[in-house]
Amino acid sequence: MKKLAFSIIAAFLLPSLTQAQAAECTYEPETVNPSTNAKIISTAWEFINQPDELGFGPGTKISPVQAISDGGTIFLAFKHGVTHYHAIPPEFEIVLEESDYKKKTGKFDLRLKPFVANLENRPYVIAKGSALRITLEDRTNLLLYSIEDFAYPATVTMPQWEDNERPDYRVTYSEVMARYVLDDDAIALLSNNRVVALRQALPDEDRYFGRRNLIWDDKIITKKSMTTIQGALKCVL
Amino acid sequence: MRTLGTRRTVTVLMVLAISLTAVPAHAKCKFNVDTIHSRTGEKVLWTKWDTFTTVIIGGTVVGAGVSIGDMKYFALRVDQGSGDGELVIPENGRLLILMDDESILELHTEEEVIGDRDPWHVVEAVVKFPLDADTLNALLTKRIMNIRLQTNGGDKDYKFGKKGAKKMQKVLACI
Repeated sequence: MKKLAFSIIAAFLLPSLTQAQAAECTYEPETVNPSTNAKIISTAWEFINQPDELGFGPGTKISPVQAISDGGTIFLAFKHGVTHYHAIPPEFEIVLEESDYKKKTGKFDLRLKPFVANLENRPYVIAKGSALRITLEDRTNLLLYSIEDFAYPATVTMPQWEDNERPDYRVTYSEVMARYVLDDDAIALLSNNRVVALRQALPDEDRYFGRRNLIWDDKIITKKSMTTIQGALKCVL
Repeated sequence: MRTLGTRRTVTVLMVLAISLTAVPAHAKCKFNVDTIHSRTGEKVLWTKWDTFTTVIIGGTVVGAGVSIGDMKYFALRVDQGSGDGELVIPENGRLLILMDDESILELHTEEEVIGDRDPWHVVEAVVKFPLDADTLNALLTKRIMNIRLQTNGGDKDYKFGKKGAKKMQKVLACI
């Protein structure tokens, strides 16, 4: 009788559990790889979080992640964020506007509408073959490589207003997306181990100091975020 | 019967006393990493970081003891402002340790380490040096005076205070 009862419970419960797991997966619209005709399945972008103790406030969202299966080849995609410090190029007009801010502070606001357009032309890319360093809980690293050049920017946000103390200097934040291919070892390591940090080198141009350098997009991520990465992977395996 | 009961009580108390006093040194150790190696399955331990240096020569340096399977390491975390450029400790990079008997221990890294840049633009590198039994024993029994770390930007010197040297021995005892 007990066996029968268990069988009945299992028969009802197990399919619903499987459905519940599958229901956690959300996907972008399916596409087809034009060169291979293979089906491309992509999970929806999900944010991963930094620990609160880093000081950016609770649950700061960083580096959205997406898992992709392109005809069975598995990829992880990240959007890397980077802060740029740069001088405003002279060819762009600085518009001084009267506003409540001016009345309160005696300072003009600066508006730099053409600046976004300028950013779009900047040659920032994550080059094909550049490495994303993933640090696992045991403090060993796993390197994933980007599969093609990814041009900057995916999205740009910038402050529209600043005071006039440094009209020649601005700070903007941008994101660039890159996809990394995973072999069987990488899939096994990421499925079975916690990731504690991500690092992607991004080229940066610092116009204010007149130099080019590499900056690191470092992410230290929470346990919950690890579930996000592993969950995304499961959805395409 | 009463004597037997008293003896039992005494025995129980003695066992309790022994178990309470004989707490191993590493029982007080705190670990940042206590896990299994993702590839080899070996036990991996990293003690919590502790500050060893006084800011007299160079900056502060924090260290940790690391154990991976049978291997023991002394790990250092050093930083510098991003204005000083990248912080790189080359493969086979050297760490010299001056002891209080004026002997010098020489350790070498196994791999190149490139410092990470944090959101406040401080560059920080974590580098670990393998320890053989003799070196570990020397570090546990003698006092460290200074260390000198080889980097791409030249050698960095750090001075250990008395407290720092003792703290480092406690950390290394944990592995």
